[in-house]
Amino acid sequence: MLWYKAWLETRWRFVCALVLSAGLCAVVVFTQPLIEELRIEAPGFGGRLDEMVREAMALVGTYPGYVWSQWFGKNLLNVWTFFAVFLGAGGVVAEQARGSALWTLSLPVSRRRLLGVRAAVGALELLALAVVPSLLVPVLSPLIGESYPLGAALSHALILYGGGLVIYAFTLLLSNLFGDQLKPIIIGLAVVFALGLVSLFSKDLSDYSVYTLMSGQKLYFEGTPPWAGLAASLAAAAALYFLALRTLERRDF
Amino acid sequence: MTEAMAIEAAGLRKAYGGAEAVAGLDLRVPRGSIYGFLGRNGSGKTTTIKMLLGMTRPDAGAAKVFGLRADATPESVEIRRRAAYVSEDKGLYDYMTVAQLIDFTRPFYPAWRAEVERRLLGMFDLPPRRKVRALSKGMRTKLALLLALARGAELLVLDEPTEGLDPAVVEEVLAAITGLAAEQEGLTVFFSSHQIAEVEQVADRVLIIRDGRAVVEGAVDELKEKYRRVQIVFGEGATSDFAFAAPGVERVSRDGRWLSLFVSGDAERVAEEARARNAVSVDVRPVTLKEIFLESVKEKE
Repeated sequence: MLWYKAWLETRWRFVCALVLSAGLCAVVVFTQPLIEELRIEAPGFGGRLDEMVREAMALVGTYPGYVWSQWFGKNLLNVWTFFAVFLGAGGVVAEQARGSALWTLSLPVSRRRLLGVRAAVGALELLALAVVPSLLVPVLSPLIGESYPLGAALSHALILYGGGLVIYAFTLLLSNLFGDQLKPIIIGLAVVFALGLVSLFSKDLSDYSVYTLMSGQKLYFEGTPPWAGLAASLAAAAALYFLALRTLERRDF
Repeated sequence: MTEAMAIEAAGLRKAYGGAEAVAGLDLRVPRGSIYGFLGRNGSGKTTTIKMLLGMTRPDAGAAKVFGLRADATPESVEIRRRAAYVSEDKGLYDYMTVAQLIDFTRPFYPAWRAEVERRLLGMFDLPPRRKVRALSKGMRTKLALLLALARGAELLVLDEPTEGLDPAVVEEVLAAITGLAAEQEGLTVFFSSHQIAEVEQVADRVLIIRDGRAVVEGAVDELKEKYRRVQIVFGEGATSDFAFAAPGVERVSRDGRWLSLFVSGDAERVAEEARARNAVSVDVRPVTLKEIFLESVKEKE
């Protein structure tokens, strides 16, 4: 029944996120012909900006490049990260602010199970938020006269998910450190925004960024999944999860 | 620790920051008793209850419920399977309906009593389809009690169960608790309250705490036998400003020639001593539980 509780607590966040990301996917697919017509030249300022514009224009020159750069590497990446923070917030510590924490803690279940079920439900929802909208790409592409392989869509979605679980685990930890629902969201978003800025403006750091990993850049350009990056990210997610569990188990209510 | 005790705690301590909420509390609650846990706001009642249920870790001392350690995770899960708890704020899941919350709670408790659930749903007039957030405070308390009473628990831990309820609802709630205690052999009820009259109405035994320490403990009838109020009036010119030699004088209030003693020992001996000092009037009278409580929680002068 804890699964049911976690689902009831997160279902509106999940459904809104699913509708929003599916809609965004449709917008990305259906605006491809327009972007094709509006291709621009690099502004000629030199430096990183010119380089970024040239790279972007080269990518949108092909449909797979467009899909990768506009969907997996940008829009899905951004909204999914945002959802990971939102779905990570909550749990029994946040229930203190709503007044139901003691009721939850009076149930005959361990804190390990409380956190485990809550984390698992959120992780499954995030999996759906990575996979379902991504599978819309091969479904919608024929409507604009293009095609996109199902396997590539699934692979990119799973890389995004596997790489991004660390962000979810980080927010779970924040949710067990702070006794309300808002602080973990604000801090989580501030941290992911700062990480995003760093990887956007520093090419050296971006190679090691979680966003580069989640974008599936290695799969797109080199054809192989980023196994080492995924392993490192999942290990970090597991460490953050166990830190969150330890924090919860030691907490006095 | 013995099987005759539902709850046993020894030297229980908990401090928050520099302030000691519970300061070496000893507690023994016999199985099958209705046990009142009394104290002023902030005296450590809720912290004690949380330590008994594994929600808060004690800094020192040990607490056992059914002989199981409250601060050990697997054992505290078993304690919570066999005990039911109603918190002071009656916080429940606002987003569930009454029926959803009952359906959610039922599977956690193998001994769930469907007949008690049905009876209390009817008796408390709870609307199954209404969201918890739309319930009045009284209805919410009734729902919390239904969820506690129907789980077939061996121990009910109730933290201020009638707080904020109107007198009619208080009567219903007390009737439900005492009814279940009478019906279910061996059920222990451990409840904290400010409402001394309610405690006197239902409890077999009480513990009064002050500043996290036990100050009075015993069977309600025995305590009312043990404590007496001795009111003494001295004549003109006589002094009331002396110390009584008789043991058991807990507190003395003076007002000119008038003296009021709260006595836990041999009140007749105190009265004799007063008469020997030329008191013009000595009156020994029984006390209520409320007087025992009020005198016990006052700071010592």
